[in-house]
Amino acid sequence: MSEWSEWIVGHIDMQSFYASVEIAADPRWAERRQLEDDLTDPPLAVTGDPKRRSGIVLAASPTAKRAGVDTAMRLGEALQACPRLVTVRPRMQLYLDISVRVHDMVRMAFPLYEPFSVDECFFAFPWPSDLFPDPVAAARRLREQIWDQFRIRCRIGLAPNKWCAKMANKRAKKTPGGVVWWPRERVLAELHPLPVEEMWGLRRRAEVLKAQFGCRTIGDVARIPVGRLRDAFGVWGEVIHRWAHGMDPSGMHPGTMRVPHQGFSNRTTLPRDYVERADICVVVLELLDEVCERARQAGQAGRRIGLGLTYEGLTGGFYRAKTLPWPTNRPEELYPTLLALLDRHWDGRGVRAVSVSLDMLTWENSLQLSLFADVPRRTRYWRTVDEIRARFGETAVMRASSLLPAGQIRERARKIGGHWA
Amino acid sequence: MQFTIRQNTLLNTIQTVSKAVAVRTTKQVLTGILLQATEKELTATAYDLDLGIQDTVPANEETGLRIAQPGQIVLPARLLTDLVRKLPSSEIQVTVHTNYVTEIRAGSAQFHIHGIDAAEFPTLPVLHAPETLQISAPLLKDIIHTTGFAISTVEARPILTGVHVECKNQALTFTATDGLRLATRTVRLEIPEEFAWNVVIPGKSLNELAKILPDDEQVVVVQFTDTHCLFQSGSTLFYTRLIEGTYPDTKRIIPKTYQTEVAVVLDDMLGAIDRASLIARERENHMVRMEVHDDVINVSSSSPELGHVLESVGVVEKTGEDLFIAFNARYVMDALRASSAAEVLFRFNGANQPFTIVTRGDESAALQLISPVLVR
Repeated sequence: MSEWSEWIVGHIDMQSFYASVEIAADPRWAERRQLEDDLTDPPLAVTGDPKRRSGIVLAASPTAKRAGVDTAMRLGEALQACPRLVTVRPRMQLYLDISVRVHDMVRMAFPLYEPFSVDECFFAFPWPSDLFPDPVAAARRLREQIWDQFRIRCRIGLAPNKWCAKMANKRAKKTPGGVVWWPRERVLAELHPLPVEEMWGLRRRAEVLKAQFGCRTIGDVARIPVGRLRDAFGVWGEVIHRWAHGMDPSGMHPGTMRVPHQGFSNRTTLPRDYVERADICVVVLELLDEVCERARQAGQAGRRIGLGLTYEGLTGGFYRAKTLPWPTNRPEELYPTLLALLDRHWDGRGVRAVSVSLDMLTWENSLQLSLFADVPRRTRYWRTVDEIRARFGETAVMRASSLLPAGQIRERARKIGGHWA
Repeated sequence: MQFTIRQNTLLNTIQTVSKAVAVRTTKQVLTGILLQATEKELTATAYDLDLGIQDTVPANEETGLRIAQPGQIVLPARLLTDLVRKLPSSEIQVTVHTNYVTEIRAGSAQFHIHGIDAAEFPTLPVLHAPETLQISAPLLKDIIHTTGFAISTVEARPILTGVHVECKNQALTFTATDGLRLATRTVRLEIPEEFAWNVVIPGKSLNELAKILPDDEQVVVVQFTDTHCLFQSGSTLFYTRLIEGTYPDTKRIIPKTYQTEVAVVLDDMLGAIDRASLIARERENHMVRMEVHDDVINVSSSSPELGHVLESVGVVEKTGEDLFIAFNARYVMDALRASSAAEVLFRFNGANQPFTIVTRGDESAALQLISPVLVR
């Protein structure tokens, strides 16, 4: 973004994304659904495992939320709050597919775009400009396009920077038309009356601002001298000060999802506590395979291999890593080190979650050969395995050990982010 | 126990054995040094259960050792070393009182140190090997120097953290490898022909041994059992545990033939690779390229961040084909630094096969084998 022309940054947020995709995917509900009337939706919730009452609500439609259903609520509680709640099992792959297409639409509508999450992204355009003479109209046009194509509602905040756009977006919830624009000269007037809790990104620091500084509104925060904020929050003090003055120097990074990885890490929560070393090893190897496959896909290799265990009751555990003399992305070279870490640091308690990570990455533009192993052959071997998996699925080729009762890979292959794909 | 001793004598002996003091342990007694005085001599011992070093000082004019009352005590190694180094006078008197409280007195300084019962100190393994081997200290030191660096530091394959020591047909061979490079050295010995040994000694132990071996032409007596090995040099005994398991068969990976052989001046090549490695940092896996073209070797390296380096090294002699190969600079520098030869031979079998470095004129003595890096 150049300095001499002003840019308007937009923040777009899909309403109850998973639930919306489910409603839009069923013609019975999709036809009744209207853009400006939330109550045309069924009371629907996407829940962990509808068969188990302990499943957790991942997303709920506005109608369900109005009846008292909230995300992260247990299914049992949700049904108590809203007996006619419609529950559906998550379809993560569908949500990701739709998300990619929505993001594509945003990217094509404006000159700059930056993904933020499955259901949020930023965009930006110059102001004033002949292409977008009316910023609110341009944002509404995008919102209607998304509705027309996907039957998904979204809201959009427009402001001079990313943080303010995010804040403006919150106000859009209560605004008909779903778009709010804070022009530069109105930012402070809009921002300062808002309560401190509304400041995005503060987490627990909001409590400190209220208790220690007696702030009620963001305007109160803006009046605190920056030095006092720095004393209380360190470098964060500076950031809070800037935000309270409606300033956010962070730029747009269209390639943010394409920057090289710093490390690869996979973790799984086990269905029960594992107490046998042999069972834990099966899972460690499965996670290592996944981590190595991701590294190979990215054309990278790592020198440091780490193992994390979380003990029963999800309390306690450890994370330990070991640096090897040379980088690799082949599991057979890393597994013995993971076993050594396991044997050295595991105290024998039941294990409920396992994680494996590979970092200190280098580009795989050279291949250190070995005296004992035929490295080029092993490299071709793994390339073939990767190709088979890419074409026929993760479980098309797998280790025999994954067929043991302890194996998790067959379950995991049907899930994304721990939920049903 | 009570004795007096010259400061530098005591300092020397505790510094010699301190290499075997346990660093990370829950057993406090292993962090100490055992001092034992008999009528005629003082013995210092440190033993971390892998490595044990014992040094003996005779009572005489030269050492200044006079034993008033025999006895034994374990004293904390770190404190003892620092304390002895800083004492103001050259004569030290050590007296053990009740409850293992040990008085150390020199000049007007007087320490009272809490010792540990010597009965708690583990006993060193007893070796009754039927045969012993004798080797000169500087030679043993040199063999360790040319091989010991190539051990693996990854504990996942414990056998490779050791040096393979094989003695047969009147030849003693040390071999070490971490899987990417290998160093081996053979020496002829005047020993009975039927004499045969095959053991794996922890590389860390050997590297410590090299540090305490004398530089003069002393003889080191070596003994082996199935589990331990003892090196005796003068008044110093050096015990080490052996690594169990079978060492990989390294003979089959050492190439017998070669397609390209170049002779170079060692210092020229080492300097060129050392300079190229300034550009080949960690992120590039220390990768240096070498191009053998006619009578010149071009050594080069490049990094997207730092830049590029190119240097030509003259060839003393060359046979065979031209070649382009890449390798980890550290491995080749380690190999070259292990050699004291003026000229070495590089023997290649193409860009994707391991290459060897041997001394020119003494090709069968020591061999360094290095896996190259394939450039994509």
